[in-house]
Amino acid sequence: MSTNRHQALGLTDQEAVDMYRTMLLARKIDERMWLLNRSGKIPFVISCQGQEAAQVGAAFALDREMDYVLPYYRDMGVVLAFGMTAKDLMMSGFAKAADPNSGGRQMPGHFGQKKNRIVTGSSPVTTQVPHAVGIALAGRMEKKDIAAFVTFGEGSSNQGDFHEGANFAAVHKLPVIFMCENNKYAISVPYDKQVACENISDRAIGYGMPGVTVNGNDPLEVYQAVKEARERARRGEGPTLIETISYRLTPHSSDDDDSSYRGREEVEEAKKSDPLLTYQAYLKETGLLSDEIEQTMLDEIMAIVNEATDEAENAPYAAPESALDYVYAK
Amino acid sequence: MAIEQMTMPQLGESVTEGTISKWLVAPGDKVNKYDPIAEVMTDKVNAEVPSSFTGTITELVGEEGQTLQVGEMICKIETEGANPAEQKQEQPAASEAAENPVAKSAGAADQPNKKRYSPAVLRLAGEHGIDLDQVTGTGAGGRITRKDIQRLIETGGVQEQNPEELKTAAPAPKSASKPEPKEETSYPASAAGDKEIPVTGVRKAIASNMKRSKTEIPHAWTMMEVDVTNMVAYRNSIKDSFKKTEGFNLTFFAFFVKAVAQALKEFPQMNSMWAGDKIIQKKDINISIAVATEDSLFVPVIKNADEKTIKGIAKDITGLAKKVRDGKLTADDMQGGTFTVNNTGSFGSVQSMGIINYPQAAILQVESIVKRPVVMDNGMIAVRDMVNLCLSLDHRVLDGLVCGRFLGRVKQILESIDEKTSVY
Repeated sequence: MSTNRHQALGLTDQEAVDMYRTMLLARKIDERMWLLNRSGKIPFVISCQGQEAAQVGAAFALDREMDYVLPYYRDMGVVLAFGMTAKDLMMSGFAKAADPNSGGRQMPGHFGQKKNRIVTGSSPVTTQVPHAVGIALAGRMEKKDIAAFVTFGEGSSNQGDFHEGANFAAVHKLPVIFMCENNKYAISVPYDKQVACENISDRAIGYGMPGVTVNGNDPLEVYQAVKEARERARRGEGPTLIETISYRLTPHSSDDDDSSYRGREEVEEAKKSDPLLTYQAYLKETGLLSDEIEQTMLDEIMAIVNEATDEAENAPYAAPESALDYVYAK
Repeated sequence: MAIEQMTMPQLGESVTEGTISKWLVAPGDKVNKYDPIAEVMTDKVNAEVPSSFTGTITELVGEEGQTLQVGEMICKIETEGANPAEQKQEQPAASEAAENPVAKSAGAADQPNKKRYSPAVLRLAGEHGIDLDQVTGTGAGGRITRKDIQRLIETGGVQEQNPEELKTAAPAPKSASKPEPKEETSYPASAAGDKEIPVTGVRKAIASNMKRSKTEIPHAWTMMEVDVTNMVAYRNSIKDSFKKTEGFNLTFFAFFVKAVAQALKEFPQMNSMWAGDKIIQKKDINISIAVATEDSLFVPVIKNADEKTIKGIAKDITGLAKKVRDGKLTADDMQGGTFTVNNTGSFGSVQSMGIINYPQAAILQVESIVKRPVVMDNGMIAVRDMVNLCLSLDHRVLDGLVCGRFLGRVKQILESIDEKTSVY
């Protein structure tokens, strides 16, 4: 029998189930987006599949009323936990005017929503890292108890932006949580061709901050690590580097054919540790989830996804004249 | 009840067409929205295309193996109680868009890219005083391409805006990206009991390549007969030991390919391509060889054949033929050919007129080696192993004289092969 781990971490039963629900919602929105792409209705998909546990586990450990998140393009789980809705995401997928991320301007995956303190990012990867450090610095100067949570892939951890941000945050002991979602591939480049160290978290010591590697398929393990990092930040002890190990279950994007660089057996093997399956099993063992509850949850989620799809599909595009809005101040 | 159309989705940025590799449904099948209906292959990805409707498949428009432009219809689905709003969106009124150049939502769904002008289009239009509102775009989503404008300039001026034409020209960019003249050919109808074989995949490629070659290239033809008695004797004498040491067959064909490669080095004119205002003489000598299967024909390439020994060529032939049989030929195996040698003798032909492997300048048919009585130099009649070499040539690139000299040289090389020749 498994022990009740979530209570030991201070999570209520309801929160533990809510985490699963958010993970499942992210997965179902993502799956729908692939279908819409393959039927020619939306131009592009970049997936969260396989990384929901890391994203949702981390988001639940933050102060979701105060903290700022600077997600990278796969972080659907993070933004859903921070208040973005299925409809918001579908509006973005269809590039409609009502897309809160950019009004249909940016590609999907460029999350941004001011009211939920989700900070928009650029297409070049890792630009969000120095931004997060800047936000943490601003919080410090304004004497607010906020933390900046920033995520990126392991490929991004080789970029200069990461180095500069991590170094500055550590020197000034800023409340930043750096979370590297290591999904083993930087598009087509496997981990061992990206970095020579065993773990991305090994880099932390070089900046003078703690670094941990956790199982990204276990939302509770990620929750614990981020919770501790958040407390360090609050105590003024500075940033933390967390590496979550998971696996990218889909091709890099809807424009990518991953069979040209990784074997099907490898993907099938990874699917056995799909976080949705393993966390679902945990919830069933602890008696929080039954087949019945799960079915009801799934039905509700599919209704949400269907409604979001239809609404976004029928929503108007932005007016052409609006293309120049926000370019110059009025 | 309404008939809805499924169109070829754009599976990836910059992807303009998709090939239906497999239908997963048949007419009469019921499908739910998002059920997969077909497997589609593109330059970027291979994917299952899901249905956008719940209903019954009434017609598959595209065939397996057929490549369709993005936006072209692939099948029809009869839906029950279709939502009129949805219908409107799927089948926007083309005429509305045409009459109202400032395309509003209905027209935008139809030709959403009509008003997205590239800098090249804007500049060309400006230079030639072309009103872009009057131009029908043939690019994706009705976008006006540079070619559209160039065509207008060449044909002299702006198209008159003809509402009829615009109506019909609307959504499918079919006639668009490849402005081929409409085929006027009438095709035979099949009678009862006849078998209809759909033209797909490789057959289709063969048909279009052959047609292109035969219609574009003015073919001329010449033949020379070669006495290969010594070569045959030599090859037969080492055949078994070669097989034993090397593990593959030493075929006559390898000797011919080698001789051709060597002669091509001496006659680079033969190793060239017609390129409109110039002739490109290729540096590399890459010999395409025709390899047939039961129902199709492939032309894999022996790269840098002039640098290889007879053994090396024999090995390449064996490898490429195996790949063809196993269906493992890659695009790379078929690229870069500069001259084709065709082993028509393998099925007993003694004379044939090859169609040039476009865009090469010539093709050589190696016919059957047959024993024939030949009058020798000393006036005696002898039984000799004779072979006909038939050459089809692009008369734009080559004339009879150089071809004759080239063939003569191939003949000379082949006739000098004997037991003193090394295959290594």
